[in-house]
Amino acid sequence: MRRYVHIYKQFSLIGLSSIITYRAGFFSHLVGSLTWGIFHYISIFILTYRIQSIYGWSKAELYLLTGTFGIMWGLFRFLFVKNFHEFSRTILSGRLDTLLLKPIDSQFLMSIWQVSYDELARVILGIAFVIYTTISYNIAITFTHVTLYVLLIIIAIISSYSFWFLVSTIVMWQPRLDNVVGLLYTTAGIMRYPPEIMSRFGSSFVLLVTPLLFVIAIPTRAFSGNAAVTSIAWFMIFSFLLFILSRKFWKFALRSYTSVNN
Amino acid sequence: MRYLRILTLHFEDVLQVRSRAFVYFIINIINPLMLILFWQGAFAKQSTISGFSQTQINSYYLLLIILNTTLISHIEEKIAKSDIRSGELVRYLTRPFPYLLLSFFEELPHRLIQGLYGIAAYMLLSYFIAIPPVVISSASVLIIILAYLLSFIIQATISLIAFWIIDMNGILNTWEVVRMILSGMMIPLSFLPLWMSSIAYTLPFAYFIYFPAITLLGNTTSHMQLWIIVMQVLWIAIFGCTYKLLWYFGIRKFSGVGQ
Repeated sequence: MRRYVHIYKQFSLIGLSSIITYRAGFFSHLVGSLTWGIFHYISIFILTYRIQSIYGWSKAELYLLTGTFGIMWGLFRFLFVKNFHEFSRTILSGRLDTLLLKPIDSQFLMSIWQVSYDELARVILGIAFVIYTTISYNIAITFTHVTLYVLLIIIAIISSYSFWFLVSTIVMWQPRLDNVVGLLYTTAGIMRYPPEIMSRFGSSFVLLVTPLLFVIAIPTRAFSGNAAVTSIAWFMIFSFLLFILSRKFWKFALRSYTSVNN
Repeated sequence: MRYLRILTLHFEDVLQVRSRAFVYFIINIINPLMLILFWQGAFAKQSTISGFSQTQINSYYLLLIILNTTLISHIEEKIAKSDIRSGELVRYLTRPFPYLLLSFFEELPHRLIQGLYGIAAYMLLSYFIAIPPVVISSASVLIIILAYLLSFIIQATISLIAFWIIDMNGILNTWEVVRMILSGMMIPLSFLPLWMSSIAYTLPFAYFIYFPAITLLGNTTSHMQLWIIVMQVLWIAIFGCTYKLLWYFGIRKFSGVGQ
């Protein structure tokens, strides 16, 4: 375990030194991250401009949902997103050989190779927006709520990572399908909506087909003290199972990988 | 005839990677479908919002599936990143065809294939979601063609900034966000606050998504359609001239090694 922490630390330091080397590139990415971060807040203001509540979610709750999405999404992108961009290229170019030969877990290496520091701007924006909403709408919070909220955001990151890894692994059979990352971005966007928008299809459909809708909704509900214990437990079990599944699927996919050494 | 051959070759290229095209199509339909579901919640409490009924808003977002896939040009990635930044432009400069025209024929098959997927999805979804029929006239067809030309020339023009800036990521992201909000891709422009919709009507973005959409919905008079066409032609001319100007100065800055 200590070895993995050390390796991760080294990769993070390499990421930091690349910021110092390519300052203009970092600044350009920072502008991009900030722009998309701000876009989510503008879009929720616009969407709720002519309505007061939707599917039982008040304006304040919808704002909290967006802020929570900003925090989780920013952290997720900071930790993993660049690596998912490289996923297809690593497999298509045969570079995976090099990773498989190293005495470290291949899933770990595929996931943490690069860190995107510019994405931390989204996290800061998200935290600021959640604080703004809490104060503006007088949302009563306790220390327990905030602790649970932080814990559930971590679990949300794990479940999102597992889902992304699971889907990205398909590239092992279709290496030219590099735009699958674009599809994952879009599916991540649906987490900004209340899960109840799928209610017309029945709760079983929602649980089976669109569990991602709950990834942000449950921490948001927990923040304002409205989350049911059963839904939190279900969410934790779901995330754990999804992570196990992503790992098993990766191991299975590796059996189909062929290369003539790059 | 030569251009037709180029177009056919690019069609073959797109059809070769059909699965990629399909993934792009799925990307384009998820958001409109989510927004249809979102607004259904709002219409549970009121029958109209900013003059739109529930069936009209459903129709608007279903039309967006076709319009987003067909009319939104994504040539900026190719021009700014592959051609100018990576130096692929060298290949085009030695060919006896204008670069803009070659890029146009390279992009067109993507849009047409995506559009076909969009039409198929529209027909399938309209079976499940109640919507009024679309109004197809010579004016609406012309507005759609001009909308694509406008979208293409705007994206091509913006991409040329890559002659001066190495990393276009920030500019392209900002541009995309502004386009999403002000073109009507996210929400009908009449839903926006008044000051914001006034800005949106003035800028070119509305002329490649919002106005084609409301024309197909039958929400425009013939006088308004004429105004839309005039504005589209005007914006195409403005961006066409800007493109020429940027190309003229930019190409003098460009350097690449033969490939």
